[in-house]
Amino acid sequence: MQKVEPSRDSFSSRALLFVRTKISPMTIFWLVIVSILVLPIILFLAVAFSPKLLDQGPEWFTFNSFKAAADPYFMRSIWHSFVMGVVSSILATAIALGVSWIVLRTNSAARKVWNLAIFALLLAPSYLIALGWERIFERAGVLNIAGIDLPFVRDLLYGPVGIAMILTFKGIPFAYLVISNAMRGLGEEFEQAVRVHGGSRIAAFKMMSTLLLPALWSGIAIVFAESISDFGVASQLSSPGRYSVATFTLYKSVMSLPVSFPLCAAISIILLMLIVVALIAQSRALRGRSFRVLSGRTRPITRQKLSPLASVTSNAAIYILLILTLGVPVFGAISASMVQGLGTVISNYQINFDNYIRVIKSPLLRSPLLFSAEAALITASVAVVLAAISSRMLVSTKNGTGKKFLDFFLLAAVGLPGIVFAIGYIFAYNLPLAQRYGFHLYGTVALLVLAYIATALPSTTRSLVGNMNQFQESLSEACRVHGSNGIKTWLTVVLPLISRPLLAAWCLTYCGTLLELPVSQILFPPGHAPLAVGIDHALGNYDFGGGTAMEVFAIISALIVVAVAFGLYEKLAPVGWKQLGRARA
Amino acid sequence: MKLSPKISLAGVAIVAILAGSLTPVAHAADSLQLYAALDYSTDVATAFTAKTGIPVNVTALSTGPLLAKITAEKNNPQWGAYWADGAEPCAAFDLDKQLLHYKPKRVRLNPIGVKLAPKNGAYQVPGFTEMVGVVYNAAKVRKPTSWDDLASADFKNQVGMNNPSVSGPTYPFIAGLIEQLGSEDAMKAYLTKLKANGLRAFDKNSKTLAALNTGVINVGLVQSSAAITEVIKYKASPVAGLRPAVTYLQKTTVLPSCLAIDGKASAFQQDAAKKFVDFVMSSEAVQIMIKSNTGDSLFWPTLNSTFPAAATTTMPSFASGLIQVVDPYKYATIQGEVQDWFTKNIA
Repeated sequence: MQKVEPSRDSFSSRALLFVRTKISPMTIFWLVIVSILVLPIILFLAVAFSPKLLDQGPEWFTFNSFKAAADPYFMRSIWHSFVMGVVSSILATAIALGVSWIVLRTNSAARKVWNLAIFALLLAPSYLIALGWERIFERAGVLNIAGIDLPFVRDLLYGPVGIAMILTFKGIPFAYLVISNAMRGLGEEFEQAVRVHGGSRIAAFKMMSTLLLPALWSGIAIVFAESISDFGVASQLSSPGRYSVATFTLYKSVMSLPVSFPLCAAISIILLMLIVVALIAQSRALRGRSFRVLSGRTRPITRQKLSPLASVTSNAAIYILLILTLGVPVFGAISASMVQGLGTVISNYQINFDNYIRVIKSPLLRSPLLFSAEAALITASVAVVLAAISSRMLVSTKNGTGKKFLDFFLLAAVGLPGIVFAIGYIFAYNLPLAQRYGFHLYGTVALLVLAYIATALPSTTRSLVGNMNQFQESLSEACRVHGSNGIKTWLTVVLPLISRPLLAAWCLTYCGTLLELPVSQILFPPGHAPLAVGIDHALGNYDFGGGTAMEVFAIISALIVVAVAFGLYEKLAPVGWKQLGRARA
Repeated sequence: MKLSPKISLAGVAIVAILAGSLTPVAHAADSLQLYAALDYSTDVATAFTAKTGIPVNVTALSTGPLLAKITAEKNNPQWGAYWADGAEPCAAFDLDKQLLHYKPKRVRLNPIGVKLAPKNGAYQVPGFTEMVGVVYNAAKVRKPTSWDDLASADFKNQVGMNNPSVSGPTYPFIAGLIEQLGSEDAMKAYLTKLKANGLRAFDKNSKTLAALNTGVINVGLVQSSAAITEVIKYKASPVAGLRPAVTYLQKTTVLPSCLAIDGKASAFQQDAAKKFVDFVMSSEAVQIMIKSNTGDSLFWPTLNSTFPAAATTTMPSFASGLIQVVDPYKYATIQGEVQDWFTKNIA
């Protein structure tokens, strides 16, 4: 009897059928999310219960690390972090709401300055903002030299007031991006409706705020998570003698012998429980309400013409805010990079560009800057695609479990300090089993970029959630009914409406990645030192001027990239894409 | 939503290409993986490659992140050799049986080198600095003369030091205090007295020196190489009101730079690491370290007939009675507890 061999055609058909039926885009999406986000987080946290699992202790199952974390010193730090997170997130979101209204809805002259400044503010590392404030109030600082000694204010700065203030400043751009994007999509029909029916301006503002609730909660959640995981401010202003926060104690535990990852994991789990509280609050506030106002009919708004007094007040508010948030860190950067002999400036100081010239000539800057710029470019592009999908999932009325799962891990990635996240990557991608099968990702540029993407994904997603929440499903449903496939519908209906927020999210991710330090220093492959590692190295070698000059260069380069990105958008994007959120003069 | 077959295949192809392109940069089988916290290590590695043909991948970081990496990699170590200041981490690795014991051939050490090198060959010590070099602003305060002097009214609110929980080289200073004051409690009492006199704790050398430069403090207890760098810097570019000078108080603890080999590394890594150790423990390598012209170059070599950089002060000797060596194996076991106490009570 003749044996019948399966034809190549039938084999490839079956392979195609398998791919088609088993590998949906969502399967690939979840595969990516689990690989870059879930696995590293789970493995790191698992060490709290099972140190032996990753050779971090003798026990297979124990709660000892939680006993150590219950030490009053650690618990006090965690409580401080929680308080700082709540205060800074509420303040930052409230300020961002007011600023968004002034910038998007009024003819205030300061709005143009703000739009330029927002990315600079986003880029300024939190430690630089803290440093600027220190420069002013420290002993032998600017005020001291001017004959003004304010020990009371200095004490406030090195305590909860100073930490909360700077975390609020650092949170404002995140909250602003989320809220302003949502406000652009809101149009002014709803406010006009209130006014037509006799409502006051305050009532109209209340109505607008209510419709912006998803964005406001997103803003609060992301600023809260960013605040409790921030180390820059903690490293400058926190200390056990004054006011310790969780990241300070966590970094101390990671960076000193004996390194105790189980203890760090236990503290991280407690930090994550705080984030769950934030998520529950967000979920309860938004439950059962619809905020879908974004459609193709959203009209350009008409800017309110402010009275002379209101104009002066709004301008003053924006400029004061910019001085506090940007002016002070700029002063910190300039004083550190341009003033020779800072701190002894009473009689003899010079301002020059020596540090900048030195940095330009040094190969130590060029290659890290180029490497980080490339990595940030890839990270921003991939993260925006993933964030668009993630944010759609988060606002979807379906995907109950998947949505909660994604929401938790996205916020967990923000809430976990960067260095902890990076250690999770080592645990996940340095497994002997994986390497035995030739899966060598640890120590490669690819893994570093994947970690960057995972680090960026939560904030990028949150920045889009407000807009996605406004998007009316009926638009894409109508498109599908008329025969369009999913991808075409997304490109022709969804993309035009969210193109500007996507661009803003891309810029946010690019800027955030360029100066990322904790993940960089743990995961960078030999010979590919990222920019932040180079800067840290310069600062560690007592080259404060050179290190800060590198930082200023990086910020300027990022601002140029942002300007080019928005310039290209204005020039190349179809007119319809730019219509949303546009105001009439 | 289902993908068309073409798009699905394209997606799979892209993933396959990406996976194929993820070549293991750091784990090339023919490169020595060196984890180093000393700035001259890159120059030494380059010279080693030129001499032996063995490539070296240098992961250059400060001690804290390096130790975090090594600990995280414990179930699958990726390093071949570790090189940083401070013997306690190496002693801790050795107690945990992570190190390969090796003694380079034909190495002649000076008396301090002999005292610093462990008898079992767990790690090698090509040079040392001192903890601490007391750097003070001579334009603002007088020269401190003793540890007790630092706790006097003349130095109230003037003194700053590094936090041993963050600064790798600072724990040996604390260990040295325990050694010469006689007990852990005596050390705690002394630091508490300093704290009551206004002692400030900063993260590491750079932060403490920044505080000195900005006038927040006028006396910094830092690594000797950092203290000497500060003096050189301000001699080259004088600034009114800031005249850094260095002094050493009796006793100052010797801080060895330690080079260790991973006991779990592959045969190639261990073999390459042994050759690297042989090279580092040569006068040729010592000259490269000194000429590297970084802050770390301001060390004292342990090899006979080798001399420190010109900017470095006279070679310390036991005869002077100014220096002491502490047993890292003894102090490695209490490091966590002591650092914890410091962070909670002094920092």
